Amino acid sequence: MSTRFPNKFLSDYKRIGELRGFQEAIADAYHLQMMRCPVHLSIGQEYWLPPIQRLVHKSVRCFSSHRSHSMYMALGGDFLKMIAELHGDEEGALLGRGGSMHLKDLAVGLEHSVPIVGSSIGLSLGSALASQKLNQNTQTLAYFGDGACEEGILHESLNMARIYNLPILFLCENNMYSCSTHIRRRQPLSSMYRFAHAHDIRHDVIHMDMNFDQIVHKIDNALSLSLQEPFFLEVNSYRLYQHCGDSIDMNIGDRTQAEYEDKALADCFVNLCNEYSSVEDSYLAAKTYYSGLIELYTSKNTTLINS
Amino acid sequence: MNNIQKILDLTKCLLKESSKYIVLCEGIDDGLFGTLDGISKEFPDQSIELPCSENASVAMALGAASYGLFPILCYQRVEFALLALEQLFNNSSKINYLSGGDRSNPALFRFIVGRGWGQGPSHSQSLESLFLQIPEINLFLPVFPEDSEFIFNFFSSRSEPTISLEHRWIHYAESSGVKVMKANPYIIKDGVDITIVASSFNVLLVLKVAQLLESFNISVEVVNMFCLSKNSSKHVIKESIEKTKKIIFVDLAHAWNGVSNHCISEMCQAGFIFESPPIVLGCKQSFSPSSFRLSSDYYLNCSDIGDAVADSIGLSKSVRRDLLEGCGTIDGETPIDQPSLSFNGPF
Repeated sequence: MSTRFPNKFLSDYKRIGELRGFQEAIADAYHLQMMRCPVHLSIGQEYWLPPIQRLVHKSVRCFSSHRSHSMYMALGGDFLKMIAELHGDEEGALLGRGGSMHLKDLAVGLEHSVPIVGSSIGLSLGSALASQKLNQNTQTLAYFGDGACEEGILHESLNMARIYNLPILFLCENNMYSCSTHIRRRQPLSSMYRFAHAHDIRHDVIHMDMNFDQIVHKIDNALSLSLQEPFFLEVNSYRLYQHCGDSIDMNIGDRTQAEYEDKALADCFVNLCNEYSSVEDSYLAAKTYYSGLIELYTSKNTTLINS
Repeated sequence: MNNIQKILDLTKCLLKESSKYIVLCEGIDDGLFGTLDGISKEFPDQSIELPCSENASVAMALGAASYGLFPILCYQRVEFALLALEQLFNNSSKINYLSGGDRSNPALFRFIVGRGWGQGPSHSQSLESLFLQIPEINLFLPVFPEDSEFIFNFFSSRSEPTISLEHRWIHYAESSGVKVMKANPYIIKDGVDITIVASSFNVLLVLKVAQLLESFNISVEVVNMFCLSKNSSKHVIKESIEKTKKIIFVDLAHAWNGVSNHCISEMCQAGFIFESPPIVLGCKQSFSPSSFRLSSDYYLNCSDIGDAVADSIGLSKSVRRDLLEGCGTIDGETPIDQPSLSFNGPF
């Protein structure tokens, strides 16, 4: 038995499989041109999402970037409404007004996804301020990527969160790429928690190859501490698909085949499947189920477009 | 009571009414030209000193307004708000639109428009036509304490944010005696011979000219273009011009692509036919010079407005000369870079 993925977290692992199956169902149908909006998948980046869903405060307000599927999945958003939204259906999570890049599900606390890099981080300050001033006992999550760390608003927001001591978790997912550009061409250093350090904010970092126990502990700790004060958690991951769309861009931009193959081997989902057959079962069941749902919307849109 | 005292009173009143009201400002302890005097001492828990982080500050106010707070965010000059255009355009009312109406954000943004005393090209821009491009936002240019009262009582009941472009020189405006009832332009002085539509500080300028014109038996109807929001009714302007047949618009900013031209366009599109061509006045150059010696090259004065009235009505040469002489006397009463002789700068 591996010590990296202890079986006490089996439900998390199965959820990882489910999320991969769900995302692949989207990716596989995207070429049909019936999800007519830019889609930023998080395939390869799912490993830390289930513990968030399990451990986050029951009253949460989350503010996401354009890669909004992650937080939608992490908070347990309604997948059917998401599929409908991707298809521009009026039954969608945003009544068809936002598509993939603006995903939200207010019922589970995904308040906003703003596809202008860094833009939603400032809004999250307002949530934390209201929580502090009105004693709302609500958790605020600001989710963004390494690209947002190049935006002025991130630095403004870290500074303000610290001087007002706002209860907020800055959740930075560092997948090393902004579109197809590697971090080394955008920043002098590859760690993002250094910005928290610069603003005197407590911080921690998670790497994909850590023991899952440790990952869960770090997430739990970050969620707990950020109920009282700002906290910055950097989560390192790797995106296996292109920036936007359904292709695997092994040779586009800065990505090399060697790097890709190395990271693909480290993919938590693949490693979990090797250890737990039920993870693969969850993956296959989810992929079949959601592919079926997507087919219904594909058919509906095909009729509309051809009519 | 002038606008400074009125805005201070209105702010204190709201802060006393509920702890949900908060005031945010860079340099809040300095009192924002008297309009926030003593606020941070009297209401420390509701007063937030802002760092020089305009975009995140506006974002914080927009976000907080969605979750139960009523933020009043102030910038000493509107140009600082340009650093927050990202939030104003990308979020503001769009938040509520994307949330299907479940996330209103009633915040008040007070952005001060500077003028005179060396403010120069980066501290005295009038950017109302820029802010008008933000969909579903309330946009006001107050002149009188009654305008301020309306704005302060209005914003927290709205689902969308409100921007008040507060000209520094209207802080000294006294009560007009006209209660403002709606978020629309309104008549501040009745007249029958010509309509002049003006906004912000220029309303005060136009009223001076209108008073002078009474002695020439010319009766001017003055419209205070107090609200520029998309849905504000222009009915009062249409009614006025139907009566007077002649109209002059006076923009606070440059006339090109400005609010007056937009208003004329709206009226034309609604089928209105101007019997005589409307005249549009605005700032006379691209940039506002710092030196008081150059100010008259940029800003409109009473003489410019008097000249336009003479053109519109077709006054005889001698009457025009007398009128402009009177306007010149008014213009000479106060240096063009001071709102009043008691103003000592620097802002």
